[in-house]
Amino acid sequence: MSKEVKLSIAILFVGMLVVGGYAYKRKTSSHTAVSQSSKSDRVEEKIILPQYEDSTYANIPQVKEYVEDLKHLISKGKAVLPLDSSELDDKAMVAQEILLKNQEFLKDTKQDGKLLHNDMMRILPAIISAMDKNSAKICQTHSCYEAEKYNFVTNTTTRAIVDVDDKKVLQIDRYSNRQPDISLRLTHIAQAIALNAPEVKKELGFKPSRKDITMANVRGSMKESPCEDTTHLCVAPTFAQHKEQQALWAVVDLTQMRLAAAKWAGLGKTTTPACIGERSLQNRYIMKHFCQKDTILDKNGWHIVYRLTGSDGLEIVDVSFKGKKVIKSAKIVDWHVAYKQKGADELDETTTTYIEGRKVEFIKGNNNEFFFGYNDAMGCPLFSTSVVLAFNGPQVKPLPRGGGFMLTQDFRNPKWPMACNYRYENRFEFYDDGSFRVVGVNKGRGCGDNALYRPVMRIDLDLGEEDFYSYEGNSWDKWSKEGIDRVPRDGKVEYPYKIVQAKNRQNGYFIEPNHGQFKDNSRGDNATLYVSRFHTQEGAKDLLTLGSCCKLNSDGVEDYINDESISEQNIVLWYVPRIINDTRKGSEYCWADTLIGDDGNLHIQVWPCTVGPKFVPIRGDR
Amino acid sequence: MKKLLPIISLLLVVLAGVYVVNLDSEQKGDSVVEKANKKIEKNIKLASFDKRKSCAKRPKFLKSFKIKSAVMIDLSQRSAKGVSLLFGKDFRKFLHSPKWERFGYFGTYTLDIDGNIYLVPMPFVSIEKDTFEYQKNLYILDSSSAKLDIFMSFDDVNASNSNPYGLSAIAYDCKSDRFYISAIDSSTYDRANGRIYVVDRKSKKVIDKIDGFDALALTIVEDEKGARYLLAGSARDDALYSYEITQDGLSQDRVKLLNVPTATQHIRKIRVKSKDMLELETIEFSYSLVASSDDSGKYREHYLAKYNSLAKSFEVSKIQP
Repeated sequence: MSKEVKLSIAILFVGMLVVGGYAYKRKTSSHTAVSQSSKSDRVEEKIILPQYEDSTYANIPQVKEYVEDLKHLISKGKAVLPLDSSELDDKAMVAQEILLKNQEFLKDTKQDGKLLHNDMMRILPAIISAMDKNSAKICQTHSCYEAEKYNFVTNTTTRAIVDVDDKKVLQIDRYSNRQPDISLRLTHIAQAIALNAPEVKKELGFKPSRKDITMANVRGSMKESPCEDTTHLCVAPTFAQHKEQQALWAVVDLTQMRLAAAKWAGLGKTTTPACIGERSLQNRYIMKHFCQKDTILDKNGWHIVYRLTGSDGLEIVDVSFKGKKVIKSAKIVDWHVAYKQKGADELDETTTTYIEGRKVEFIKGNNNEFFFGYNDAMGCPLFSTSVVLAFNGPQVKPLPRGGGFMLTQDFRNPKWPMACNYRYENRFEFYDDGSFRVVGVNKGRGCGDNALYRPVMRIDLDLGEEDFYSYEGNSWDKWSKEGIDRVPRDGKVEYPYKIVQAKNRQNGYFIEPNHGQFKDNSRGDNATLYVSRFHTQEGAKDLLTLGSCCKLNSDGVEDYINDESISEQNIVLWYVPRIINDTRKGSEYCWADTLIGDDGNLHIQVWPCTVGPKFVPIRGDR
Repeated sequence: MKKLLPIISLLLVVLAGVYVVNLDSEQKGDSVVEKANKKIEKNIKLASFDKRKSCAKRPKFLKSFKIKSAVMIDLSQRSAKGVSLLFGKDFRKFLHSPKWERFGYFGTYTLDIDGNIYLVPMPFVSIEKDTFEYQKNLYILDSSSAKLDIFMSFDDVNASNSNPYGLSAIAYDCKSDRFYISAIDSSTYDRANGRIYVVDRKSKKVIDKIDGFDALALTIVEDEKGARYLLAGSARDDALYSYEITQDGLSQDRVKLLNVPTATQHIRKIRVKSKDMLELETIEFSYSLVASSDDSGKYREHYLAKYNSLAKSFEVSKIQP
């Protein structure tokens, strides 16, 4: 090797070492700077939604004792849970005694003869800014106390000024939709709920104790609740991890006594949430995890890809069982909601009508009857055209009677169960024998009785080139063209339809309509089945509203049935059940009601109606 | 040739060094820009401001209907679809033509110096056949003829299933005879792709455009120093921003003025109420049809924003409307 070559190699080696070292140093220092700044200012937000039933919290001693006290109080004909003497000085105790006998102060504690849950929240020496002129004048020389009471049912705070010396109530002000500072007892309950929440333990990685909590987000007087549902009393106990410069915020709903949501956030001002509402946390979580990307579920031999759509609810795609393709896509694209009323002759169709923010469609029928209603699209809570929105994320649960699992998604109008608001569940049941069921559940409440619900289910199996058959008499009749059929209601034929692979008829599924045999209190599907040839523009992507809510002789799918051949084709099944709701006492169906319970709080009762066909794999011996 | 090898090696090393240093300075450059932006975002220049008399005139067609009293432009859809004019005692009478329903629903409006009403579309409650198409047009209710028509279309505005909104806000500048019009159509959950167009009213030409900001409300203020600003309520957060109005259109620098106290609220209406005082109306907004279509008023909140021109900061308080 010549001298020049040796020198060149040396220059290259040393030069590259210097340049490489410089680049590495710059990279690590800039990386450190970025990660330092991101730690303090931009800790990635992580949202945790509750995965456990409310009963998890009902057994916490503090909660249990509180609810028992409430029930005892209500049974004694009283509605205001007083403050414990440990939270009061002598004069405050006198003020509480005066107020609990004062009719004006207690005026809002009854509704339709039922006592409503109220808590005395705090009684402190009165401050001048809370007083009117008259009170201020008296309180210059007298000992005055200011008390705050909260009505959990009406979400109202009542503030009173009491002249303790003269034992007189000087002033009473009510603030609807406003919440006060909470009592020490409720603070301890909120802490107990946060400490016992399985989600909190899991996130922190250890069993937290009270010393780990700061109550940074307890409201100042009359500020908004941190819960998105501002009619609930909520607080946000916080678990700060100063070393990591992050905190876990647990949003506790004290109206429902449960964890509403939790969130990891940075401690720096830029990311500490001024308000971390349950609903906005849910929306962000749902958008990030289920609207913007597919999720894969592998369970009991099933491989399922699922996502939330803009207006077609929960969609499952590319489903296989033990390696064999089963479903290309299945979803509920719409719920048609129609109500029957008398008085078609007097119907004014010249102006547009809206009920609870929805445009109402009117269709005249026979015998002076008319139908009115709307189409409900379900979907993502943000950036969508849906009005019935995904709550919480999709959940995987075991089937109630075993033998498989379900993938389910709850959709609600934000104001459900108020009148003309709806709640639907999109559910897919997967059985261990390879069967599956597409299920729609309606949980009311709607606008009243005489409601007819029609969920429009779109099911595209993945059998390659397919053939469709219906059972006629004693034999299977192959459909050569697109068509419509009223699904038999009586269940005399277990499987009135089947869809098979054209080249191998043993590979396919029988269709078992629901006529109440699935032990879910269903009154049957009463469905119409549409069989169409696949076209991308016919529902493969998000469908806008399909057809009319109220033309009962049409489900909207008819537009896709136009005599095309379906022999050895990619077939799409449209299954449209018809459900009539029932509001009669004792036989409620597709209905929800809100009642004041023996604890003075509102309780929601639901009578769901469940519809949808089951697909059973064809075995060689059948 | 062999003698040149050490020189070539040295050159290679120098080139590699230049490349690395250059890469590094590019990265540094980015952070400088970022810092500059941050600085600009905090740098409020607005001086004291006050309510100014608008140049907007009443629509001429009111005369032919013999309406002399105050008129309220009603887009709530309660009395009729599209646009209605309320007048008379307690605004109980209303003027409406079925022809004013032909382009769907409207979210906001402005009036010009000739009494024309310009209407910004809005998807309302449910998606109908032409809903998405309607969102790309600015509409005019002609001052003389009372005819509702398309004033101009924005071809780059495309409302869709995943974001049904198109044009979203408007402000009219009397001095320059220009409109400031915002669109939020192509914004996604992750990215603000909205625009603010500056449009010359007479020529109907877009003369300037701001990209990457979703404005839900727009209004113009002029401070005591004569500087003029476009105030913009954001559809993505709870803040009010400003852009300085220039000869050519708008300055590209956006300055954050304030946040409303409730993080889930978005500013939908901005009004200069009195000296250094703004009145803000907010809504929950999620780029879907739900809250924005709720006409009960329950989800609307109202705030007063008092400006301290010395401290260059706003104090925001909630009020009952």
